[in-house]
Amino acid sequence: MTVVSPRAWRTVDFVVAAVLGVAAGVIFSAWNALYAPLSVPIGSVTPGLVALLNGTWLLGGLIVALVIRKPGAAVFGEVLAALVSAAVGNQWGWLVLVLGLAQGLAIEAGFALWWYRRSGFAIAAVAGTLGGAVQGVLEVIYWYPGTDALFSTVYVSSSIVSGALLGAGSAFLLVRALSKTGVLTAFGR
Amino acid sequence: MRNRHFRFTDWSLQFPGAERPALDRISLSVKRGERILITGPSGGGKSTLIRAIARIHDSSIVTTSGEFVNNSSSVGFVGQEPDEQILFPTIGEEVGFVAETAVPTARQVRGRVSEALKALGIRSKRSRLTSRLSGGEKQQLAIATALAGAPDIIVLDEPTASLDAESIELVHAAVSDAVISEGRTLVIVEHHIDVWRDLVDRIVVVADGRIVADGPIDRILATKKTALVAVGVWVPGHDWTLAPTAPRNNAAPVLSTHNASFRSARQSKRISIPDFTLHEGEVVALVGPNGSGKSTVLRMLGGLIAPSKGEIRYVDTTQRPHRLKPHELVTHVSSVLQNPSYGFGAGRVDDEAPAHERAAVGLTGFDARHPQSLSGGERRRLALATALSRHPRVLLLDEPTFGQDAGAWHDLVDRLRDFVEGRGTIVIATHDTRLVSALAHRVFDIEGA
Amino acid sequence: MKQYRPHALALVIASIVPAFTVVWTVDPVTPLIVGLAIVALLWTWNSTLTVSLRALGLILASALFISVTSLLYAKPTGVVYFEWGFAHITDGSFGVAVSSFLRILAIALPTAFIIRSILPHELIATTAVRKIVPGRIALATLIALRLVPVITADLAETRAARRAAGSTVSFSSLVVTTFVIAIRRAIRMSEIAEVRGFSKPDRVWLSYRPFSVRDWLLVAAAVSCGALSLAATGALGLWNSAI
Repeated sequence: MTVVSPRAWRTVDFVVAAVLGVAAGVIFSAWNALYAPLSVPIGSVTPGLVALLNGTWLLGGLIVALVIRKPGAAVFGEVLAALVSAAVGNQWGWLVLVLGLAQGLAIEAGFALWWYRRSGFAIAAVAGTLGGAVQGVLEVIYWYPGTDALFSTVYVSSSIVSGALLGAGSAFLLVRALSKTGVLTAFGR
Repeated sequence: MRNRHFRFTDWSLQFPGAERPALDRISLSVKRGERILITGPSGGGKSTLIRAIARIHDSSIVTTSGEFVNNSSSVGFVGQEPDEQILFPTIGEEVGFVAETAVPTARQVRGRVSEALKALGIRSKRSRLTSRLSGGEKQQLAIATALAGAPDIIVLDEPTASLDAESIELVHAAVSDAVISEGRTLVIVEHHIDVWRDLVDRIVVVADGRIVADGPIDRILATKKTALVAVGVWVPGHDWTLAPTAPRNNAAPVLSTHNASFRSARQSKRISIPDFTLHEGEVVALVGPNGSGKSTVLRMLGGLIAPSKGEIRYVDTTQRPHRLKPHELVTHVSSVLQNPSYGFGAGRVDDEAPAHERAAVGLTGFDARHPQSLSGGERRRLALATALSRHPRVLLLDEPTFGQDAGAWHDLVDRLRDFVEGRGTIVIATHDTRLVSALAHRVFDIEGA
Repeated sequence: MKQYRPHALALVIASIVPAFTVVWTVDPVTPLIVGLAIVALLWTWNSTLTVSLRALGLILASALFISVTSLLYAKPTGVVYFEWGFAHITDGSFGVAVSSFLRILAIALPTAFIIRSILPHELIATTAVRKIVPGRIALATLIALRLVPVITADLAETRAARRAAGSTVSFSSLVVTTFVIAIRRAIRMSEIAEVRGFSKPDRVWLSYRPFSVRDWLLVAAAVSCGALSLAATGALGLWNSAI
C-alpha cells in the first residue's frame, strides 16, 4: 500500500477546488451586478473608501484555501475566480489573471505561514490582510495613478481592512456553513 | 482462473463515521462476458457494490476487509445524473478525454473517438455543445465516452433513473451496442428490472449490505418473486396496479386557468396550460416527453414564474399567484420541484418536517443528518413530507417517483391518497405511468407548440 | 487551404500588451495609441470582433467612475477650481482623469472584443502542453468551466425552490445552497474523471495546436506596438512616470 502525503493533491481536490473557484466567480459576478450600480457611484466620490468592498474579490482564493488546505489551493482558486469574471466582462481584461495570480500568492503566503495546518478565522484574516494589501496597491497603480498620497493611503488601508474582515469573514462563515451540511467530509471537515 | 472477471470473498466496506458496514462480508464471482443486474431496496448497498466494482471508492476514505480480485484492464462507468456524467463543453473533448490517455498519438485518439461515436450511431458534430443535449443524449454520450477507453467491463449505476420512455430506449440501445458485439462484461444497478431484462442473464439482489439472492434471472424471478417484492424490487409480471381513487362529487373549485401560457426569451417555443378548473380532492397528471414544458406549467401554477399571458387564479385570493409574498403563497399551494436539493433550508432532517410526516413517506431515522446528505430518492420523499407538513390546499409535484424502489413508491402513493381523501388537490408532472393510473382523475398531454 | 484562425493564446498575449504598456506613464497619448493599435491588429488577424452591449456598458461605466475619482483626488497642480473636504479639482486633475479613462478602455476593450472568439480548450490545452499550467490543473479548470451554465441554472432553481417553500430568499442562504450543490456535483464528477483516466500521465492533448508563423507575427506585432507607443510618448515629451 502506498502512503500518500496529506499535502498531495487528489483528483477530488483538483476538481472541487476548480468548481469552488468558478462558483465563487459566478456568484460574486452576480453580486457585483446587483450592488455595484449603488455602491460604485457613491464610492467614486469618497476618498478611497470604495476599496472597503474589495474583500469579495479575494473569496475565490480564501474559500478554496480553507476547504482544500493544501499548497497552491489559494492561487488556483483566486486565478479561476478571476478567469470567470474576465469571461463575464470586466474593466481588467486579461490583466485580471495577473491580478488574480498576485492576490492568490498573497493569500497563499498567509496559509503557508502555518504550513496549511490551521484554518480558523485568524489565519484567514492574516491571508485576507495580505491579499487586500496586494489588491489595493495594484489597483492604485492601474486605476488611480497620479492621485495624492492621502487618497492612496486611504485606498490601500480600506482594501486591507476589507480583505481581513469582509473577505476572510465571509469566506470563513461560508466554509463553516458548508461543513455543517456534510459535503466537506472528503476534505476532513 | 483466466475467464474470471472479478471476485469478492468475504468482503466488507465501511464509510467513515458509519455505525455498520455498508457491505458486510459479501462474496460474488463474475465471469468475463457475464451480464448482471444488481437490484434491491434504496440504501441497501447496491450502489456501494457497483462503485467498488468500478474501483471508484477512495481508499483514503473508506475501510475495507476481505479479498477483492479484479482482472479488469479498463472500466467504463456511467452514473445516474446526466449532468454529472459530462465533464467537458463539447462532444469531441468529452469522448477524447478517455482516448487521450489510452493511445499514444493524436491520430489514434481521433480514430478512437470516431469509432466510439460510430458504435452508438451518434452523428452530431464533434464541436456540438454538450450543454445542448437532452438527458438521454447525455447518457448516450457518456456510454460512448466509456467505450473510447476500450473497456472490458461496462458498469452502470441507474443510468435511466431520470429519463422519459423515449430516452430510456436510446440508452438501452446504446448499452446493447456497447456490450453485445464485443462480448463485454456488463453490470447494471436498476430498480426497474423490465428495462434490462432482455439484456442481462444474471441477477444479484443486495439488501441491508448482504447479497440475499444471486442466480440466473429467470430462475430467481420465478422462485423468489415474493421475497423480491418484499424488499422493494420492481418485479416484472407482478401486478402493481392500484385502483385509482374515486373522484368526489360536487366538490368546491380551488384553482382555475384561463388561456395561460409562457414564452421564455431563450427558448422560442410557447408553453401553454390547458384551460381547466381543479376541485377539492382532485388529481390531475401532466404527461409528455422530457423538455415538453411540464415543469414550466407547474411553475406557473405554483406562482414561481409569471405567465406571459392569460391568468391563473386561486379561488380564495384575488392576487395572481406569482405576485403573492412567499409566506402567503404557501397557504394556497406547495410545490415540490424535480431536484429537491434546492429547497432545503434547515440543517437537519428533523427540522425539515415532523417525524410523523416523514414516517408516512417511509423515512425513518436520519434525524440528525443534513438533508443534502440523503440519497436522491430519500431527498425527494423528505421534500414531499416538508410540503405536506405545511397543509397546503393544492400540492404540485414534479416527478416525485424518480429513484424510488417499490416499497418507497407505495408509501409515497399511500400518503398522497390520504392527502386527496382529506380534500387535497394534486397536480403531478410525471413519466411514471403506474403513478398516473393509481392517482389521476384527469390527464393532460403537454406539448410545446 | 484551410482558413486561418488565430491561436487563442496568441490573441490573449496580444490583448494583454496594453496593460503592460500603460502602467509606466500617466498620459492620455500612450493608452490612445496602444489601444487603437492593438484593436487594429486584432481586427487584421481576426476580422470578427464582437462585444456584448452589457460588457461594453460595464467597461464604460467603470471607466467613467474611476475617472471621476481621479478628477477629485489627483495630486493638486495649477489653478484650483473646486475644493470640498479632501476633494479638489485642479488643472492637473483633468489630465489625470482623461488618462485614467483612456487607460481603462485600452486595457479592457481589446479583451472584450476577442473574448467570444477564444476557444477555452485550445487555450488551456496549449498552456498545459507548454507546461505553463500543470496538466491536472488544466483539466480541472475545463471541467469547472463546463459547470458554469449548470451553476447559473442551480442558482435560479434555488431561488424558485425557496419561494415555493414559503421563505424569502436571502443572498447568504442562496450562496450556501448553490455551493453545496456545486460541491456535490464536483465530487461525483471527480470520481467519473478518475475512472476515465484523469490522473494518467502522458496525455495526448487533442485540443493542442502549435503556433503558426502568423500567430508568432501577431505576438511580435503586438509587443512592438506597445514599445512604439511608449517611444512615441517619450518623443512627444509627454512622458509622466507613474511608478
